[in-house]
Amino acid sequence: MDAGKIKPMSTTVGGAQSRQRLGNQAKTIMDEFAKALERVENATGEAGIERDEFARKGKALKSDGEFQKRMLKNAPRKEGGHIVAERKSW
Amino acid sequence: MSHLTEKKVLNIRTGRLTSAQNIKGFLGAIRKKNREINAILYINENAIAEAELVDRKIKAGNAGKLAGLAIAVKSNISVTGMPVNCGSKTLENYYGTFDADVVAAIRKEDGIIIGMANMDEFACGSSGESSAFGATDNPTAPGRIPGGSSSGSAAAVAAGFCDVALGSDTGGSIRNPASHCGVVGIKPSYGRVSRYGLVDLSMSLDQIGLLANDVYGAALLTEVISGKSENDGTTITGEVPKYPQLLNKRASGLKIGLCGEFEVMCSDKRIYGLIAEAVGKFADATKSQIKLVKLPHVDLAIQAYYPLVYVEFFSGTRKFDGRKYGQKIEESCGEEVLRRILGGKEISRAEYHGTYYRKALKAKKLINEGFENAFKEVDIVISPTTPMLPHKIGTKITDPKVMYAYDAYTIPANLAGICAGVVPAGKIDGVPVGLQVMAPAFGEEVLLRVMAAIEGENADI
Repeated sequence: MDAGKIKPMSTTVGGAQSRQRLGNQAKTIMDEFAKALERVENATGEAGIERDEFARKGKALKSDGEFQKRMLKNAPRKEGGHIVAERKSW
Repeated sequence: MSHLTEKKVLNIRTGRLTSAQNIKGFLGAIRKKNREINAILYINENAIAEAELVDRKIKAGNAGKLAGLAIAVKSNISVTGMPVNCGSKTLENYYGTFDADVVAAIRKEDGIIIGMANMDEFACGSSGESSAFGATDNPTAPGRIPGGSSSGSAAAVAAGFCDVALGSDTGGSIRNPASHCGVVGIKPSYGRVSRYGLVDLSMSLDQIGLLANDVYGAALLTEVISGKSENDGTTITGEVPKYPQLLNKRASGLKIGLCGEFEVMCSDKRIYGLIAEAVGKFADATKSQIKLVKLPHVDLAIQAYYPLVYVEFFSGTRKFDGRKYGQKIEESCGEEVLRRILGGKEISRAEYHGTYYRKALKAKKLINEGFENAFKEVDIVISPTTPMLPHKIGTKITDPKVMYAYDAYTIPANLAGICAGVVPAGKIDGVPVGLQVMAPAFGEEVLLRVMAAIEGENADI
């Protein structure tokens, strides 16, 4: 059994209308949650991350010669040893 | 305590069962039943050959702690050469380019990766229904959801497709399916286990953990995958306790915390009744004391969790731009994933600074402080795992908040960074119900000992 053979079902969301609906729904949920969280507004100071360790000791990672080969295998578009990225497509 | 895994380990080590026989047995079960259950998406075709190598190491007397055990891996954890598709069409053709730290640790101890498990798409689900590769069935309660997002991992353990399985837990994704499938699940403390090689959902909350048939198996795998890693700066230095050996030290004279808020939050009161009964039984058997504790703002866990997840998930998915890993995520994902991306994008905007994410961080801090104070009074806190029984597969749930509610009891542990585990407590209408134990950060020892004692008390279920 290989996932390459198992094809995913069509779960993709299609159409601008569906995207709009989901976006609106997400915003409504977030607004509702933010309103509920108002009760903690003045209950505490700013949240932050506290850590004792500021420097890490240890050996640097060694590069793996095979890694680039495996990485390129996953890229849909490549040229020589590079992944092709189109400007403005993102 | 159940001794299933302990006996298996001993049988393999003494040659009564070879590693190859163990793996062949599981492969046979997968071939026979996986079509219906849909827990495993990919089988490691080298598993038997790898097991034969382990058998040689056993004969030579130098095999590791997991020698010959079969481990299924959730499809968001990188394994070299195996599909890491995250249950999504976006990554349907993506194969792991390296071993995650947890996978490397398993291999070092001679565990065999038997295959990759199904999951909710990008871990964005609590039911196991949102995978692009189809829903997973619950082997213990057929026709019902197995829970999620580590749906395939829990179902694989429950169906007898592996000895133990790796999962990930951001808000309950290991504990929720463990409860629904009637198996044991552990979410270690944040920083206990390296996340290197995990495709992130929400990096400030994500934790790799595991599912097992019994607490011994859970303790064994927890020990193997725990520890400091140079690849994950959140991991903590210090020696990892030998958890399986510590299980022999019987839990007794503990202070058990119960929170009144948890009873209010339980929509199916039968679940709370069953958990309360199990706690009473455990307290009597171990001469422990039950104390009511306050966990302020724990009722806001869902409201604090989702803004954090939406924003961090949106940020994390920017790498799925179709250049390196396959398809552009917005053009190939399902509804819940897109909802989180669009919501995360919207509330990440500069004009909303402080409205959502910062407020959620404040609530997270308060919930964390609540647990810190509670653990000054009690050793552990016990709660149900989910407020309701798993629904039937395919039930139409139009309001996402109904699905989010499944994780009301499990999210607090992620927000507080503490460790938590689930152990079967009984059944209601033939459906398994798990009891959740929460312990202080890096208190896995007490967590596992309590879980082992509860497992012993419920040996007949």
